[in-house]
Amino acid sequence: MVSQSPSPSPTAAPVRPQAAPTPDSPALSCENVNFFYGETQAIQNVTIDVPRGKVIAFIGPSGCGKSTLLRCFNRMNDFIPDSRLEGRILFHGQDLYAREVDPVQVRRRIGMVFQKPNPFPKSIYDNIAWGPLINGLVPRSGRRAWLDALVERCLRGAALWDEVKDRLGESGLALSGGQQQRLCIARAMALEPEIILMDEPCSALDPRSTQRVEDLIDELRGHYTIIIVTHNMQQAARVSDLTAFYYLGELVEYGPTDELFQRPREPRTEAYITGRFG
Amino acid sequence: MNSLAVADAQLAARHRAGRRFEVLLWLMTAAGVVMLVLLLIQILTQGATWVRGSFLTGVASIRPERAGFLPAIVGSVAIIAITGLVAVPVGVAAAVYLEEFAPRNRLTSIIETNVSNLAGVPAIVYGLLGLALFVRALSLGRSLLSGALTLAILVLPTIIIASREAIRAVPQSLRLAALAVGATRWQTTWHHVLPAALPGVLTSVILALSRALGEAAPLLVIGAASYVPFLPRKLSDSFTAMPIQIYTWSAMPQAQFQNVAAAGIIVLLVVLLSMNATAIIIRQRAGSKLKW
Amino acid sequence: MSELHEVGTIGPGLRRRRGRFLGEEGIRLGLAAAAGVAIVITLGIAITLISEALRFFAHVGLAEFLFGRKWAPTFKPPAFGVLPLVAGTLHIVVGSCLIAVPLGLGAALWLSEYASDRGRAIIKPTLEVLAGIPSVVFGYFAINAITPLLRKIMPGVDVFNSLSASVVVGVMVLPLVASLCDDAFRAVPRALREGAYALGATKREVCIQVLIPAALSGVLAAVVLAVSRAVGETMAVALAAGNLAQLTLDPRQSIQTMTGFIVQISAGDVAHGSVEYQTLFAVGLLLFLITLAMNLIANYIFRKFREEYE
Repeated sequence: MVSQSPSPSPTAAPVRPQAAPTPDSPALSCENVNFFYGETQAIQNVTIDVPRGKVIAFIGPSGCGKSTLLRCFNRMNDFIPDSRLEGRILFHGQDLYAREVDPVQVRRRIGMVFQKPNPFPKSIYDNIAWGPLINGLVPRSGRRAWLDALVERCLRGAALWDEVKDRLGESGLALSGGQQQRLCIARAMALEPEIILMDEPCSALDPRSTQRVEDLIDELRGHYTIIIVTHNMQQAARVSDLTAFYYLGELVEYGPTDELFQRPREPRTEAYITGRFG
Repeated sequence: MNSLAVADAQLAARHRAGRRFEVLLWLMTAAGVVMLVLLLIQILTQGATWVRGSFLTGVASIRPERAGFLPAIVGSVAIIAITGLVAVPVGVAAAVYLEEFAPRNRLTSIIETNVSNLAGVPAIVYGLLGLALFVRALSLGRSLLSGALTLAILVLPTIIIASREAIRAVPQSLRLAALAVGATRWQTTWHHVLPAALPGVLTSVILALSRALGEAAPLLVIGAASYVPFLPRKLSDSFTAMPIQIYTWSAMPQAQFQNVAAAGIIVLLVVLLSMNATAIIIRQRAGSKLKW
Repeated sequence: MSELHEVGTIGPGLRRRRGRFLGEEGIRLGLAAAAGVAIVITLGIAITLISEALRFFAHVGLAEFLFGRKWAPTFKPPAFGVLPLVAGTLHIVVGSCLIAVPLGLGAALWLSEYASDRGRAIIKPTLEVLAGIPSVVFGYFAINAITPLLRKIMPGVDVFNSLSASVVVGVMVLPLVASLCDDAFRAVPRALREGAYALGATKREVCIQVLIPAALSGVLAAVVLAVSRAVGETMAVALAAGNLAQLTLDPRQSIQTMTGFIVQISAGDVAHGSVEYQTLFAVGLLLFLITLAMNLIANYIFRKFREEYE
């Protein structure tokens, strides 16, 4: 793994000094993004705007670059040696890959839920409290009460509270797969991110658990901007407002989900959604 | 608008702590390397000028400047040769059995547990076994043969474990292919699995024997002699070995003998390094030829 | 089975061919016998140690041996309290682990989390070389480099002392700890690291708060194995720590370990059947039992650790 870089300038300043975003400015926008693993190009010249407060699905056959692009949004690809990004990804007008940007700041503000549930081998409570604790968000006085309230709020938000409220001290690993994934969503919510990235969050879950996670995504709509990568077209159609179809590293088509599925403009999109490849 | 770049004081402190931590870990890693370098420097400065013709061809002496290493060199070579002759066939056969033939039952798992526990028994305990079994019960005396057999038992678990890994690395498809054309289990093993596993087995055997070459404790216990002014000629002769001679010299009160010990260590390390280098070359050759 | 069979004769053709079957069976038995040698060796160790130790305990009470505070088997009158030897061994265990565990853990974290492929390719083999250096060489190094250095910087250090021996045993055990902990850290799923980084953790926080707790049982098993190795370590201790079996807490003084005693008695020509000869096996049995217990504990913890992530 490569070491974390670049390091931030140590100037002390208020945490979030940005101007209030206008409602219609995009939450995130990519400008001509290319991404390379060594010599292989995984993403080709992608330009896309992600609107605020919506659920956006990234679909496409496996290896089309949708997960890679998602991981660029919170700089998780920093850990891959020999990888390189060209172009700009703008968040509040700030390029995520500018020299002075601290990836830790990025990841605090843009949360992520992974393909396989990955709770820490700690208690349910600590799984949620850990992010705010290491990031120094917990007030000095009344820590316990603040954390208790946070844990309850996040677990309720992730529709998990009623199932686990009596066993917050148990290991997160003791939960079922679907519960673990909702715990991971609650864990991401604890940092109050503006965007939550979901990388095939249901691929390791059974249909019932999938249903619950999809219901949860529906409830979170409007409160967060959610970008969800999925290989399941029905899922994209069910949960998303907008859908982007990728093929061989290119963004082929992007538009309102209904339109894209009912009247695809591109023949490749049509071929994919009608199941001719994938 | 530069909200992602402006670090708050808390985050800056975390990054500083992170950098300090990385430096600390690096220093801890370097400590082992530094120790190795210091060790080699100490040995070379003290012993390099003592490695000369008369040292390599001479026999034991009570005068440091006339002390020779030849009986120890010959003793070590003879012991390791016999150790290998005894331990390698038995060890590889046991590994083949456990990987290719053994049924999954209680007896097999007892054998496996036994092997892994034997690998953790201190070398000196094998010396006690050798003393009671070979020197006394079988009346082999404090001889070259007793020493070699003791070391054979010592390296056997290591050889079994490492050979099993080499055999396990042979892909299953090769076995299935052989069995599918009507070969028996043994024909499959002898004609296909063992040749494919040979580089790995050879590497593990060399490494195990180089370990045995540096062992002094079990040989001391069975009674290797510390003063051998002649070369061993028969299996029943009393003997010394390189690590034994180095121990004897290091334990001498006269400072000059420390230089002789260092010279002996240089010879021992050169032999060990060339064995390890051979093992590495075999491993790399095999790696480039066979790719699964 | 070269010729084609008539339909009706295929049945008998499938029967086991007797000669080939017997040969195969003979080879199988031969190989099984080789594997059985492992059991024979274990039994051999157990029987020799126990039978000679039993003869020893005919002379010396078990309680006197285990709890006696004076060890002087070759004196007149002799004393057979093994505690000073156990205490000497503990000196080496504690001292060497104080060096090997933190350094090994640090090196393992660096190797698994910070090192580039190049850095790994340099450090890993170097540590393997360090692990391959014979114990007697470390004994020489302790006498000629560590002890003089200690005597220069610390007052009251004896010529033979447990501290110097502990330092070199620590260095010897370090590669083992580093390699086992490295394995343990690498066995922690990447997803767990990613989960932590995605919450804005720095690498140090991931190491200390996620990886070490997640790999704790693996690390613990490595420590137990390191202790076991230090208990059985012989030549470096025999050379550097001296031959004075005494109960002391002072690491600047000379001590004697269980292994050191075995070497000391073996170096003199002990008469078969004498009490000295039998003490070798009583002490050896104790040594064997302690290391066996340690290894069993370590194996148990390792198994638990693997279950956690598989």
